[in-house]
Amino acid sequence: MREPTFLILTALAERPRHGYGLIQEVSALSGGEVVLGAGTLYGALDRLVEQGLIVVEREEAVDGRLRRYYTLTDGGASALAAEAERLRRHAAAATERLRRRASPGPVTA
Amino acid sequence: MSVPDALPRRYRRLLLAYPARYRRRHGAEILTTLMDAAEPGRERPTAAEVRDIVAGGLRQRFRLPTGRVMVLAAVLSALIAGGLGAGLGSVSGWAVAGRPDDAVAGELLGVVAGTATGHRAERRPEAFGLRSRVIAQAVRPPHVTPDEAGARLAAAGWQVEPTEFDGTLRATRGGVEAYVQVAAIGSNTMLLVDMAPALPAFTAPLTVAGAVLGLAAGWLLAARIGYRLRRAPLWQRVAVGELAALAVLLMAWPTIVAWGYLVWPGPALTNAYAAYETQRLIPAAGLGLALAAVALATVIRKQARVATLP
Repeated sequence: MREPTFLILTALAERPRHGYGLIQEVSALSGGEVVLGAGTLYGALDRLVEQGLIVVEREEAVDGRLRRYYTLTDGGASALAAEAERLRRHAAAATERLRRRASPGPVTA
Repeated sequence: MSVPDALPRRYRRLLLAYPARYRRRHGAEILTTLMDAAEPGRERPTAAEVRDIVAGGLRQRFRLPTGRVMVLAAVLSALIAGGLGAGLGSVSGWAVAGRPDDAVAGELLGVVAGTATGHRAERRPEAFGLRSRVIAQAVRPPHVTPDEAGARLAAAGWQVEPTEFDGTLRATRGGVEAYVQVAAIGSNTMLLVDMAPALPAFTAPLTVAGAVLGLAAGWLLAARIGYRLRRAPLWQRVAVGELAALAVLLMAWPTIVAWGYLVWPGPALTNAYAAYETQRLIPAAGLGLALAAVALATVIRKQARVATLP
């Protein structure tokens, strides 16, 4: 799973969001590091809908502006949980190795 | 003075990068997102937005429906169309250059005969027209032996080598490669030149451009048909699939030869594929079947649309 995909699924975990709401939430989640363009966002959304990880929850038209709200499916939630667990394991492994490096062991000749 | 709807108009123009079908479904939604993100008073998309939308649109055009069969179909379609495109580019390159090699063939025959001699020349396009051979035969040439022929060619500045065939010499000069065949038939002499002419200047770039355009066009065609067929009934999908598969089979050999020649344009590659009428019929039939598959896929879409009307 690539980082934008992971962040989009995470942004949808709590509640449904529309396009610009997703862009803002992904930016907030990543501490401003990932700012998705509309082209990138909709490419990812289309793929995620095709894979059944998200669905369109509802549509709203306000002032002639059409907004579609996307939400996580059960399949999407379990895919996100599995990916979060995988990343957690990797992060834990990295922290553990770094801890061992920080406390120098006996120096061998 | 600021124009209030300048920005959405410019965004809409950018969204033309997306395929029409996709734009109908998602255009309004993407426009909303872009307008939501734009600060008030802005009139132009940022450079980053332009890059992002155009790249997104192109990606969408080249995207395939999920499934390995679609990837295979797109690769085969791209290779076949790429071979054809290369051939078209090459043929136009040769056409622009005119036919100066016929004069070279005549000169070559004259050198071998030791005197100017009349000749009949014939051009054979091969591998979708990727290369041409000129075959020229002298009309009633004087008697000449292979040894004399070799000596005369060398004196005229040709690099001469013997070949595995009796009476046939390989002569090269300035990018031209010619096989000169001398034989005595009864009291007459047969004098024949089979020549791979030097590549005209425009031919190589036009060939490469044709190949690249063909690759892209073949891929896009497969992607479009793939999406069109997704909601078609099974029997129609099977029919289009089988027509396309048969077309691929018929086009396979010329395509392999064309790409073989593009990747390795060695003079030793012999292919008389397009030289004989009957063999030309095979890729022609393949093209016909491919067009039939495209037509059938288009008809399906129209019928499906009519069927969904209330």
